[in-house]
Amino acid sequence: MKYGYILRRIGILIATLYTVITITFILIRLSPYNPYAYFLSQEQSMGIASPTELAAMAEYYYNLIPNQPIYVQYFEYLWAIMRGNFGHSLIYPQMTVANIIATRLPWTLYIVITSTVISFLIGTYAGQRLGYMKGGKVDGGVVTFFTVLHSIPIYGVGLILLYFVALKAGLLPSAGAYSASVTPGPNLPFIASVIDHSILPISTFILGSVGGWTLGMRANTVSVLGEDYVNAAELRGIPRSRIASRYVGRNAILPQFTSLVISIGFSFGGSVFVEQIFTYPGVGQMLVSSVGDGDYPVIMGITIIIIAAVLVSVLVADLTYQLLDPRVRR
Amino acid sequence: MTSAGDVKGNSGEKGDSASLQPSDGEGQKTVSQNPSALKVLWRNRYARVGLIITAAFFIMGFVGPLVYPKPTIDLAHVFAPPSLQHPLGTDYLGRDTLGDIIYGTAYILEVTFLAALIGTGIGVIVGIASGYFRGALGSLLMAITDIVLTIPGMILILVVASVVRSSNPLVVAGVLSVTAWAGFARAVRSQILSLRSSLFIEEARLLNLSSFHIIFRELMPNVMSYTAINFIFSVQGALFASVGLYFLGVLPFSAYNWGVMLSEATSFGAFLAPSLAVYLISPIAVITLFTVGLIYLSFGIDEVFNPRTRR
Repeated sequence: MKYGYILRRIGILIATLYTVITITFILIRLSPYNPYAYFLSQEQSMGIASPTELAAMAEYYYNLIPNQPIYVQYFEYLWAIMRGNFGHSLIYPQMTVANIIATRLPWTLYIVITSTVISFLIGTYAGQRLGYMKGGKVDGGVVTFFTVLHSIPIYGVGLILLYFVALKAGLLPSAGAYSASVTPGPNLPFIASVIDHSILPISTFILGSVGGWTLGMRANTVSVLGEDYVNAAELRGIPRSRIASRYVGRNAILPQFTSLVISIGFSFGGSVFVEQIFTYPGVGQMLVSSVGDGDYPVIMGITIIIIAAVLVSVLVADLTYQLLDPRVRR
Repeated sequence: MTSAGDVKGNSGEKGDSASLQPSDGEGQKTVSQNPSALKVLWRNRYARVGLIITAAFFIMGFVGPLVYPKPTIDLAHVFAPPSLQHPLGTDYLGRDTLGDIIYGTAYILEVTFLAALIGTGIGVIVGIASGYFRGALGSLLMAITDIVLTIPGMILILVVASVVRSSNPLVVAGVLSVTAWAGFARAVRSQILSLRSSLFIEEARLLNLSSFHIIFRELMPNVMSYTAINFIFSVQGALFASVGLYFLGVLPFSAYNWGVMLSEATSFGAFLAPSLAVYLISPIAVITLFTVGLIYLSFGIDEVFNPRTRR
C-alpha cells in the first residue's frame, strides 16, 4: 500500500513534468504567437545565413530543426530535454541554457529553502502561543497585525525593505549575492559577504509568509484545544507543558506540513519578485531578464527546471509527512 | 483512489476560515430564507469593514475617473512631495499620484474579477463533474487536476504571459487562471463526494429526479458558500499576480494600472528622488488595503449561505 502511494506520486510527478515540457513546446512552436517562427523569419530576412546554416542555428538555439514534420520536432525537443540539452541562449550564444541554470539555481535554492525553514519555525511557534491566548486583548490585535502583514504582496515587502533598509539607511547591501572585493570559495570573508547580501531577500520571504504560518498554526491550535482528549489529559493531571508539546503541538503541527507542500511552489514563484528587486543572481531574476530580452530558450529551460525543483521538493515534503503522521501511514 | 489525497486536498486549501460542512436537507433552502445577503454581512463586524472597503474600491474605480481630474504630465513638478494640490505628491512625469491610483483602479478590478470568475467557474464545473460523474470522465478530470495542481502557478503564468504579451483584460484574466482553478476543483469534488452519499441526494435519486435537477438544485446550493469564499480569494490571488506581472514588466504598459506605477517607481532612477517614499508606498498600500478588505469580507460569507453559523 505504501509503495503504491509512492509510485503513484512519482507517476504524477513524471506526468506533470511531461505536461510542462509539452506546454513549453506548444508555446514556442504551436501557439499563435510562435516565437520560433518569428526567430526564423527574422534570421531569414537578414539574409546572412544559408538555409543549411539557418537550420543549424535553429537547432543550436531551440533544438528544433525547421522543415521537419511537427511531431518529429516534438520528439526531438523531448529527447533533447531528456538528455539535459535545453538549447542555447539567444543573447549569450556561447552559453548553454543548462550552464546558465547550473550557475544560478544554487542561489535560488539557498534563499528559498533558508527562508521557508525559518518562516515555518517562527510562524509555528508564534501561532501556537497565540492559539493559547485566543479571545484575549492581545490575540485580536495580533491577528489583525498578521492579517495585514499577510495582505502585503511579496514585492511590496521587498520594495519597502530595499528602499528603507538598503537605500535610505544603507544598513545592508541592495544588490548582488556577494561583494566584488571577495574571492568566491570556502573563505570567511566570502561567506560573511554572502550572508550579508542574503539577509534582505530572505527577510522579504519571511515577512511575506510568516503571517500565513502564524494564522494557520493559531487556527490549528485552537481547534485541537477544543478536542476531548486534551480536556481528558488535563483532568488526568498531566503537566501543562507536556500537554502543550505532546498532545496539542503534535496534532496542530500536522496540517502545517500539508501547507508546507503548497508553500514550496509559492516560494519559488515569489523568488521571481524577490530576486528581481534585490538583483539577486538566481534563476528567478534570470527568468525575468530573459522575458525582457525575449530569450525564449532560456525562459523555457528555466521554467522546466524551476518546476522540476518544486515537484521534487513537494514530493520529498509529502513523503516526509507520510512518515510523520501515523494516521496516513497505512 | 479517493482516500488520503482527497482529505489532504480539502484541508490544505485556502478557505480554512470557513469551510462548508456537508449539510443535510436544510442546507439547500438557505439562499431563499435570507432576508438579504447584505444585511447578514453587515451584522458581522469584519464583513462590514470588508464590504465598505470593497465598495470603496468599486466607487474609486468607476466613479473616481468621473470626478477626479485625469493626471497630466507636468515636467516642472516631478517627484513633488504631498501637498493640497497633490495629496500623494507626483510621479516621475509630474503626474498626480492619487490620480494615477484612481485611474488605474478600474482596469485592476476588471482583470481580477474576470480572473476569479473564470478560475472559480472552471473549478466548480470540473469539481462537480468529476465528483458526480464517476468512471472514466471523473478519473480523467481528476488526473488533469492533479497535474495542474502541482505546477507552481506564478512561474507558468509568467511564461505564458511572456509569450502572449497582451494587456487585454480578458486575455490577462485567462492567463492568470491557467492553474488557479485546480485547487478549488479538488475541494469541490471532495464536497460533492461526501454529499453524494447523504440522505437527501439518495432520496432525490429514488424520486428519479434528473441529473440536471440533482446537480443544480440539490448539490450546487451546498457548495455555494465555499464557491463564494473561493471567488474572493481568487480575486485576491489575481490582484497580487496581475500587479506583479506589470511590476516585472512582463505585460505591455498599454493599460495604466498600479503594477505599471510600481514598475515606473522603481525604474527611471526614481529611487534617488528624495520624496519617493509616498509615490512608492501608495500602490503597495492600496493593494494591501484591498486585500484586507477581501479577507474581512470572506469572514462573513459563510454566514450568508449557512444560517447555522450566524450569531
